[in-house]
Amino acid sequence: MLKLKKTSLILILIICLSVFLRFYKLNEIPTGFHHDEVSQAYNAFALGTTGHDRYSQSFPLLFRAFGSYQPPLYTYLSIIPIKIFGNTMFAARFVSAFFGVLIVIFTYLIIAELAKEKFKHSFALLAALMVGISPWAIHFSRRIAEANLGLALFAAAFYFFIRSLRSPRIFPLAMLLSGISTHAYYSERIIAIFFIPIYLFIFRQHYFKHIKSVIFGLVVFGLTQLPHLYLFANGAFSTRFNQVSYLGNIPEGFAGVIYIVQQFLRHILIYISPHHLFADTGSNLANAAPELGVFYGWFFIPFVIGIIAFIRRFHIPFFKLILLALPVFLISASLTGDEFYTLRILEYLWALTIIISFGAFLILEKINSKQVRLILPVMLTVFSLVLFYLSYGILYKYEAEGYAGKVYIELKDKLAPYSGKQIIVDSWRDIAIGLRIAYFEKYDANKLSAILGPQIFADYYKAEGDIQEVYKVNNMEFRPFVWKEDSGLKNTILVGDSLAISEDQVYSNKLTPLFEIKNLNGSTAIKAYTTE
Amino acid sequence: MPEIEKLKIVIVMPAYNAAKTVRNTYLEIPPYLRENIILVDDGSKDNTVQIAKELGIKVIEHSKNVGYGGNQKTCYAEALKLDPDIVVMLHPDYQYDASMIEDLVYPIARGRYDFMFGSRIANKKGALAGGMPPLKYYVNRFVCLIQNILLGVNFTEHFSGLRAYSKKLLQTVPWQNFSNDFVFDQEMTISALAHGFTISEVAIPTRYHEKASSIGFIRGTKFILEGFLVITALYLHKLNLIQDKRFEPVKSTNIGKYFIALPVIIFINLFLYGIFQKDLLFGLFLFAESVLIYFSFVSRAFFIRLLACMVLVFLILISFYKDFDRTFFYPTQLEISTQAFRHEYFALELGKLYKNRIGITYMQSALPLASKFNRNMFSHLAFDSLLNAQSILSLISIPLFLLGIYKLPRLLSRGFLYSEFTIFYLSVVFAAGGFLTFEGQYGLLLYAPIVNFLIYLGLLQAIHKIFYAKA
Repeated sequence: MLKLKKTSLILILIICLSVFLRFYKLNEIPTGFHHDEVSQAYNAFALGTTGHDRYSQSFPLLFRAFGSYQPPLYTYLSIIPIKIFGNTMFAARFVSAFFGVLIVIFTYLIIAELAKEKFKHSFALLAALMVGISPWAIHFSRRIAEANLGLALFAAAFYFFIRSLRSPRIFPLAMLLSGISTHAYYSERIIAIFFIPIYLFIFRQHYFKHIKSVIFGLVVFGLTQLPHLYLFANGAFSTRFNQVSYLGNIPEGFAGVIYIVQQFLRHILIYISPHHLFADTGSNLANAAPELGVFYGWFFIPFVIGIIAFIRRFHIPFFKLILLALPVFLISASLTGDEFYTLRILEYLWALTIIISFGAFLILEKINSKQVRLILPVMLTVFSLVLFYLSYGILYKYEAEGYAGKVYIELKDKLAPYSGKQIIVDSWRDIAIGLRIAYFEKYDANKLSAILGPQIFADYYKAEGDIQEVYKVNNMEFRPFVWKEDSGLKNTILVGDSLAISEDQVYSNKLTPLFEIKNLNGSTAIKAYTTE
Repeated sequence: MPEIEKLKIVIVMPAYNAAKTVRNTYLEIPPYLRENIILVDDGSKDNTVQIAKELGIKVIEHSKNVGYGGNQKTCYAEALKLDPDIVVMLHPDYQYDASMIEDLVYPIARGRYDFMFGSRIANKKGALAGGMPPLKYYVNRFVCLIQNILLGVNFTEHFSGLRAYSKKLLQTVPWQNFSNDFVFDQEMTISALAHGFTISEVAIPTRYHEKASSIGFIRGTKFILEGFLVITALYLHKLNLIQDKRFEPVKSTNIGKYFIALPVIIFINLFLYGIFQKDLLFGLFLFAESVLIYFSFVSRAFFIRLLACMVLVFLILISFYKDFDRTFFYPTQLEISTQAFRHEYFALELGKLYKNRIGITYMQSALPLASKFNRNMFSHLAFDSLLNAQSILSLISIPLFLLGIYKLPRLLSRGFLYSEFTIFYLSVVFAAGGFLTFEGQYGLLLYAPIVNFLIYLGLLQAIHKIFYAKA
């Protein structure tokens, strides 16, 4: 009883820590609001107020977003927090952070369900802690990431799958969650299709005895896939994949096959390389915070021990399931052209974290002193969080602000006094400026859809249209400058960065400086001028 | 020696034309040890059998001459039927002083050794005074020295015909698989050593006389060469390249079965790196290290690991000379400017926590260096670069490498591969990589020996499933 109390207390502490790491200053860090985030947030706001998205499509199965499509589940789930908390970044990111905490809880439940009685609590707590503090897990819980929602649903489905080994009637629930996860993120479609057969194969002896539950579960899963069939018939099903995959540009004939296999294998190697996992995820700040991999460097030691231990225990179903699932988690990412794209491999990172925590557990088991066994994880947690704070809390805050258009959020307030003037904001390098301001302004979705709707050339689910859409919010217009025309406008405010409005253009067009907005580091980000 | 009297000691005599000497040999044996004597006659043309029977010795006769080793096989088979504690092998040619048998068996009876032999060459003066021809003496000493080094022992002779074995040794060492010729004795010694039995010697008087049996020059030369062949076979067996039934079955796999593929893999892989054009010396060292890494995995032989360590030191020295990351001391302009920005960020966010000597030193000096070291270390563990993922051959090598990675922990867990050195190797290379640039590729290449081994392991698993020989 005491042991259970102690376990519960530690679990509550881990959950509290996870909540803190995911919700603290969620409205401020990450600085700025990335265009993918803005798109989700505004659509949720639009649905909540009008029942249709910004292109006036009623309750879409996929959301159009800047020439592509976003899976729908995150947007629908965001309606409520945006209603409650208002049009803030916190409200828009709430679903991600909330489900990020659920991932920690389900990790604990899964391990506690599967691990041997002897060490199930300590291993499960360690796994929950490591998922709770892992850089990748916090990073993607603090921004709008459909993949994070997808992972949470996958983890929930995983939990109910293994629970169904005890109570077969739960199996359809697991299949339902698995089916729903395919509407959360694109990768989940591939993961579900491969993971479910692998799972059923490993535990086939059990499920042969409960064939009714399996059939019912498959029917439930099939029903959840019906929207995909509709999208498949309309062409939007694979639009995103075609945009990011290398399959669209391959040589003809056998050389094409060779090319695909080679690219696929190369990407698998990239994703399993310690180089990318523990040190350098590249310069793309969407992947990880500066100077930090998706894992802390010290995770490498328990990783090596853990992966060896997992392979050694391959004959045990749980270990076999995780190991066989690893390549499945990498399939979708390995079919896309990006060198290392963390967002597409969250399930893989989650599974690796479990492996790492098992390695850490084995190390701790070797330590005789009870005090050291307790102090060491605490010290490493503190050390990790200090590293995370320096990287994410400071460097990422400053260095990613340009990446997510932070200054344009301030622009809304700066332009407030000029409501009587025509304002043109250059959107050449940031396609989401208009939408960002529309979201924070709570701009009427009906009005916006009246502007955006006509810009779609074809059917909603045919991805035809210009990625550079023209936005108009009140007296503000967001589009790339056309100097010949715009410089001739009278009494108009032009806003842009130094590349949009150079010193020469200021001089030749006789523009008058109005105000400027600085980056966090004090450098000038954008300037506003008035024409004569 | 009361303990000896309680033990069952069987004396075996492999005899061939020993009629003139068998009686004297017999009479020299202490009386209380004459109870269990077996003489195996290997088709003698004289009346050896008749005399032996007159002396009351149990005689086994071969219908035809099978050779010295074959004779001993019958000796030990018959001796073991009597369930002995110790078996003594004594030549019936009166060349060895049988009264020394007690000294020979005493250490075995006390459990100190499993195998004792009488050395005739404990000192030069005694050996020559005993009638040993000088040439024979010097050849014996020279061969003995070489074999001592190769076997890691310090005996004064390797060819003695007076030996005593514990029952356990005779039940363990597969003497049935040995030669029927003179080299049998050497095989017995080497195999016993390979099985981990302890061997010692006692000095006995040298007694060369005209009635004693003697091996001729040509057969003697053959005998010596065969001895070295046995040692060579032992080494190959230990390296897992052959499975020799004379020695302990090393806990192993069939991992050496397609050994010939290993140099091919190494060569192709190193060629793909372009290392032979870039730095021939480094390439040759890498080739050697790849082979040594393989052996360090499959063999416990210390010299392999020593050699691999030496080659590794050379490789690291060359890497450091060619590819040391000088930005540790001379940061690039980009790094300086990034650091200047970050200085501002830390100052803004951390305030007084940062604006002190310790904070600034840590954030501006220690942290970037540690970060760079960390990044360098991991940068060489980029598998896509390690396996030349852009080359067409990677279509084969990558799946094999992945299969090798999957197979390796399972082989290690079953104790079929000896991994200590490789873990040491990987740790050293990992740490050394922290000082090397990624662009120079030397840090990456230091992993090539392990990569080559894993590809080989994957190949073996793919074409011929790795099996596990029963220990």
